[in-house]
Amino acid sequence: MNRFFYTHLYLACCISVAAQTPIFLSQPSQSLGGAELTVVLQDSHGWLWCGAKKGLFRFDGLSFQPIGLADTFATASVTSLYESQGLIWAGFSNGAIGHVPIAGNFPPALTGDTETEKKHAPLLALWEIEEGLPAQKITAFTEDSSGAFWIGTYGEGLYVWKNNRLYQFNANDDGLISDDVYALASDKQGRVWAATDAGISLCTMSASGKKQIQNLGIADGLPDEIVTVLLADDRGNMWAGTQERGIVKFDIATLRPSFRTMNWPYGEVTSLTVFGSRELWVGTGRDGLLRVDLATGGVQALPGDSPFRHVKLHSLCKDREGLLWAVLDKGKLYAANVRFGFWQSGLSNVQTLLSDQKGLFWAGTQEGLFLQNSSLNTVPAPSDFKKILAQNVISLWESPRGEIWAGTFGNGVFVFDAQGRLLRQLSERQGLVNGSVLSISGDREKVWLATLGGVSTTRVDGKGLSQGQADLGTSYVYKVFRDSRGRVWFCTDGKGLALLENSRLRFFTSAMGTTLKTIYSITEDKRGRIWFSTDHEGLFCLEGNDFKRFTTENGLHSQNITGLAVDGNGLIVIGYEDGFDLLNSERVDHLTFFEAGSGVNLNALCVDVPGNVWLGNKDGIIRSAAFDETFVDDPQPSITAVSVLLKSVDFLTTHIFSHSDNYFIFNFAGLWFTNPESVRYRYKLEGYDPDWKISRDHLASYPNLPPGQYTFRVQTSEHGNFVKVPEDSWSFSIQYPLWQQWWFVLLSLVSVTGLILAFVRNREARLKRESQLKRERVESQFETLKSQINPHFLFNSFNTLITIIEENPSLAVEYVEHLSDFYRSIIAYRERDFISLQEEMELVGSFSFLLQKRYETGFQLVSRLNGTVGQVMPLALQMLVENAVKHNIIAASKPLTVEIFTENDGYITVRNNIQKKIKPEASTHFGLQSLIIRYQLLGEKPVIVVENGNFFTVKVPIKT
Amino acid sequence: MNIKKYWLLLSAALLFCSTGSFQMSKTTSPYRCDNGKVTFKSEATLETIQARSNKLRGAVDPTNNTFAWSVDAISFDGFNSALQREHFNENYIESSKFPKLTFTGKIIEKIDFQKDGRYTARAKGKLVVHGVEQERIIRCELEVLGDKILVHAQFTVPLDDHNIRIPHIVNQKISEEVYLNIEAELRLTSS
Repeated sequence: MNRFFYTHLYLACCISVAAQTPIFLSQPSQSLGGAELTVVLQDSHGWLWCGAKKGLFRFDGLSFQPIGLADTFATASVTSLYESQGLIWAGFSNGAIGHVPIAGNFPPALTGDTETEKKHAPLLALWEIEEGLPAQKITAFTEDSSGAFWIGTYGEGLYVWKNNRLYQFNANDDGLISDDVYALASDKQGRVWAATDAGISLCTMSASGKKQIQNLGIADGLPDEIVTVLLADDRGNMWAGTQERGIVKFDIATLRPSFRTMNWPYGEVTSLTVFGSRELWVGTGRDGLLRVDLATGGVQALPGDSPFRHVKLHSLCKDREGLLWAVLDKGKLYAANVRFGFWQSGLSNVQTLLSDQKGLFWAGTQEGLFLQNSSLNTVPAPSDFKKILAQNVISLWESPRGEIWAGTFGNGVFVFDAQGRLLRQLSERQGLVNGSVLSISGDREKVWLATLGGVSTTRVDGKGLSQGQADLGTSYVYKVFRDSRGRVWFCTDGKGLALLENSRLRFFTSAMGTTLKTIYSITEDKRGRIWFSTDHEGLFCLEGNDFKRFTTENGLHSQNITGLAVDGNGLIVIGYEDGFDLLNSERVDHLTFFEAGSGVNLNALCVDVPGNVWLGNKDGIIRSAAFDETFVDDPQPSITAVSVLLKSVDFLTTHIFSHSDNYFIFNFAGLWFTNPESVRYRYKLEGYDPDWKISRDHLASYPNLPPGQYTFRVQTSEHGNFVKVPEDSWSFSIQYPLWQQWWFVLLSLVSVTGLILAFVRNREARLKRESQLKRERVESQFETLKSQINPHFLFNSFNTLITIIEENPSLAVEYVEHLSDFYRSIIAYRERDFISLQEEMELVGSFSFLLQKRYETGFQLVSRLNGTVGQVMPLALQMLVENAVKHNIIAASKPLTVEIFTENDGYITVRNNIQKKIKPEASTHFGLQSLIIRYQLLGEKPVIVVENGNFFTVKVPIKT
Repeated sequence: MNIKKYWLLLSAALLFCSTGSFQMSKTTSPYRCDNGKVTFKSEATLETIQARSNKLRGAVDPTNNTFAWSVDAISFDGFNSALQREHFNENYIESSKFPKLTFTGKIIEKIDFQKDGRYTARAKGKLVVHGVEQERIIRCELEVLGDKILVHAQFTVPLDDHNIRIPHIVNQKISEEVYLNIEAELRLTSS
């Protein structure tokens, strides 16, 4: 339910209001920061954009969100607003033009501090074009059917933005009627109408750039040269408001005026808005808001003491809910629901109402029967009613013959002709069962009169009055109703609902398990469904044989219903003692409540020819207008901002987030200017929430969302019944972290497998190398041992020993000691990979001693190690010395000199002079080869072998 | 809003004022120049072509805010090659058929030429290039210095607007839009 809480305003105004005074509601302005508004526009999403003397705001019904302005705009005021291509365009008093996206990210105001909010707000960007912007006030924008963008200025004529180029239309060069443009509007024929100080110019620009102008002046039907406002309606008309001669309507096809206001004491027209084909609401420069009834041309101003009577209205805007927005002098914003208003009729306690076929109103009160005496204005001034009968009139009926039947309290029925002349009276004297006639209904032949004593019937010409439905007993009948199929329904007090069909009476005494006793009111909708109300059981709908029941649980304001009617748009109007509901009969969950002071008197409702519903109450008459135009009747949800980890993100373009961006806040709004406070939200994060959540908050937060696909859905309702309500949604995904991505897992598996494989291969290779090394070493040891226990060596050694054992026993002892040292060393070192150079040299020393004793001066070993330290493979040097001895001639005349030295290059060099034996000793060439391989296997530097003519040189790397 | 009503009065007053100062005014004769600089620049993907002329002739009439500019197409020089200049004159601009590039029209803003200072103004007029006339609004910077006006303007000329067709292969060398840069110093002429 949404409600208009303006009881106090109503009480203050209703005494003096003129016909159809809308009730203005001031809008909350604290968030404006004192800005004076100048112009208001509703965009296609439903937001209200308000231009101000300093600034631009977006309004959601609750607060104004400031839009950041570039410096160019800072000192100027907004003079016009327009929506095109998803942007709001703002024209300024200094000629500047800016634009801002409608659906950008509008992060909520977190601090309430206007300056801080400005930093968060979207920015109005300067429209930058090569041609430069006008220097005079921008008064209007429009777009023609080719998509060209037109700009009106006050002083520089018109500009057109077409094919990315700006062109000008002015008075001197192009024949514009004046350079001072007040307003622009485009018609369906592709023309742009420019309202100027000197008339209207109809401008077109062809694709080739050819300009065409046709001017309309006084001779063409304009009442005034100065045309200040233009409004193109969707029925092929162009409305023009002038400076001092009122309003004229041009037919766009013929360019002829098809309507104009007659006399105009109201001053300049500043803005226009039209409701269907019925009503034009006019903002004026000094006379506030006017209403023009388009059926009659009647113009009504607000009453003289209304605060909105003698003011300047800057801007008017009709919103999608049917509210009329007005920017008043002093820059204040007001809204009014002009569909609902009070009729200053001068009548009070209206008990019954009738709008006859000619559109004239008949009203019955305790004082008498009143007839509207002229139909010039459908909503007349109080003096338009005249009293035609001094009776307490409680029911009215218009017969198909156009006669008006008025039922009184106690004195029967009075029948009038359409002009209000009394034709006849039917009373108890003529046989009426009771003189108090609560309701009258009938057809071309028969009339049923519901009285406090039962029902009487009579012929429509008033003859043959009879006691009608005796079977209804003598109970009260509050209402008798003949439906479109010719059936007659009786709302009884105590016996439920009675139906007379084919001369048989049938009683409905229970429905949906509820006992039906007292029925107050009944009506029929366009689909033939019967709606009836009870004294306190709520509302029932009968379709075929099926009942539906509506109670306060369905959103009814109350279960005490005083009357029912169906308006021209098919809405069920439900009267209560304190207001009325509008029920959308197609969407039966949907109700809108209007509070109306003293409520609605019992069955004091009527529908006029256009379909408006009029309700009588203690204070007079209320209108619930049914304009031939549809309005939005739900709050419109809109996601306004999304923030991730408390930082707002551009959610229109960003939809994918990383796994660490998992704290989401969604801001949303439900645009429902009729009653912004009543909006309820229902939201659900698809992919996370199992159920909908219902809340009044404007945000939903989700900390710590796991990776996945999500859609945030939000719906709005103003009564809490989320049935067939509009929705906004936003889809996004949070990516799985790197280590949960399938490709990463795959890649990791592949690399791990690769690593293991590489390790295994490496290890195999190493093991292979090690085993080879081991084999080499074993072979080397074997060879060494084999060579050292080589019989030649032993034989030679023993021969040497024999020669010295006798002549020099002590030397012989020494010789044996060296021999044994030599063998012990071989055995001691064979298992080791490396031995120190020093150990090796000791070994070589022993070996050399043995050789020297054998060859005497034929063999010489020279070692120059200069204290070099390091390690070599065991027996490496010994093997080289042995090789030298093995392959060369050794004689005193040709001594063999073996040199062992270092050159500080990381090698130890073994060099001997070459004097090859003529018959070389049998050799496996194993020793040197084995040394080279072993060094290679251990990953050391390679052994270098150099043989030139004179020397054989082997360089063995020293391991440090 | 009551412009209509006060129009007569206003124009009478204006007429009186303007005739009053008419004799004293220096704005009775036009400003002229015949050595203004025009730079032409085409930035295509493969080549940037620049050429200039120092023979821009112009006149600004402060009494009615009108102006006229003209430059001979053959006076452009400084192309990347002599052949390019020949192409410019023969293939594109067709200098023999359309010898002049002109821009004539009115200044939209009212400028007080009697008061020294810098102004940003928009010139609305007809740009004739290659014999094709296009209506253009061109923004320019004006600096009034005694009896001199310095004018600086920058704008683009889409070749298509002026029926200058670029063969397909050449369009990597010549851009669809060329930039023009105008710098001129106009002096009050004693009439």
